[in-house]
Amino acid sequence: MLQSDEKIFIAVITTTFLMIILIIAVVLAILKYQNRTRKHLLEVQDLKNIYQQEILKAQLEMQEQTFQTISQEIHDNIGQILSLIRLNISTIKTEENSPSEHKVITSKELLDQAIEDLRDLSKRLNTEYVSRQGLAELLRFQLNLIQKTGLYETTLEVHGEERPLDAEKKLIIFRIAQEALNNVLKHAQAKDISVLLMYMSVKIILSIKDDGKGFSPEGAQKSLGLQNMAHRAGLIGASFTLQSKPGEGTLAQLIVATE
Amino acid sequence: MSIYQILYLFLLTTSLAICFYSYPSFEQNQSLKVFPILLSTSVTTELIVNVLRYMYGYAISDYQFIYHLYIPLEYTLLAYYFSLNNNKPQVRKLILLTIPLFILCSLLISILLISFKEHPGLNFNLSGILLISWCLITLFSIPPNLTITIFRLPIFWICTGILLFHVGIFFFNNLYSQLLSQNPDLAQSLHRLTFKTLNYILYICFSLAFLCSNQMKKSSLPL
Repeated sequence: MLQSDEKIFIAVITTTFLMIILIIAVVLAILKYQNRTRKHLLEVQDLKNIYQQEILKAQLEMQEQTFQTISQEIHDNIGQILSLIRLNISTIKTEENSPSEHKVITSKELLDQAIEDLRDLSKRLNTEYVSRQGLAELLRFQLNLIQKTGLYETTLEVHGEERPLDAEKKLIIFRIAQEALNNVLKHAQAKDISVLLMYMSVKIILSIKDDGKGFSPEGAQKSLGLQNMAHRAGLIGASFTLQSKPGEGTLAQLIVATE
Repeated sequence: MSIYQILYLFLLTTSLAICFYSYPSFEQNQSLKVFPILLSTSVTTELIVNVLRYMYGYAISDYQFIYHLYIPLEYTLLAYYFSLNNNKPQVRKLILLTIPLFILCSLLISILLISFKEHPGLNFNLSGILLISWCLITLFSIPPNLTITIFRLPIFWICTGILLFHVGIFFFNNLYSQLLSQNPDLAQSLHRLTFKTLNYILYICFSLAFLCSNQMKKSSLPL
């Protein structure tokens, strides 16, 4: 009898033990499923990100090609025509101190200004020119153009030793800086614009600061220009931040990892 | 007919009704189409058995042959279902290969080891071991679905139902054989109770699976 009780006891224990194993197996299967779902979700998000980056890259390439075409057109066609016009005007013979002579001189000066502005514009748009220059040089060139208007005071500070950058990366950094500076000119109503370029051991920090009217960053999040800058930064694995408060100016900062 | 038997037939028939009701949603999950056949066969088998037992007064041994025929059919359909739900071709082939082998083994067991007049316990246990294996393999390889949780997937409830049913039966048999020698009456009534309860769980799980399939179809309808 006792032996039989023991057998029943063993049977109950074995059954319970095996049932527990079954429950553990089902729980493990659920956990594994959740883990796989999480991994799958990450994979899908990665694919989406890659897809978006590819689209953005294609858009930027197309934009650069358009810039290049416009730049060449300005340099080779419009520039040449203006130079010819200037040459023709120079050959016009007028009486000294006559109103006609004043008009010709003014026209020559205006043409010189137009030719110079077009050259600058051509340089700014020319991808090859951008890729040949250093980043600090490009920023200096851009700030000089702004300074020339006489409406703004600009400063550029470069810290650290300038290192050669991948041409594509440099182009994207420069285009982001151009966009940020354009935003300052269009919306900030600033007087001082200061740019700080810091070369650190593993990263480059580019800060563009103005003393303009500022804005509430929450309200500006949907701005296409800001989204573009953030997307472009993402394309080179950089982070783009914007700090601003109404009445306190704006600080745009781009941090690019170099290693 | 006991209340347990009536409840069992009610759940089985309800499960079949839900299965037919959800049938349009099986277009999205073709493997579920084996269940109307399986449940129709189960209902038919139970009806025949009950008619023979209660209307014509057949002894238990006189209608056991029906279960000897039913078990290979049930295994074939469930194994086919699991083969359709497995991504690995080797596992799929293995499952399909066991179908003719099981039918052959089951027939040999019925003819050589136990007669058609006895309860096909051995056939049932063999089918149980194989189905538990396929259930575990399937449970661990359910493809991820980003829109719904595992508890809303029909495959989860089908695997859970079959696992609980067969593991319960398989291991209760172990206890039953020990208890039978000591207290046959208790062993018999406990066996009936366990068997019926596990059947309730199985058909409730199947019904849940069909409702989940229906819900999946509704949630994926175009707006």
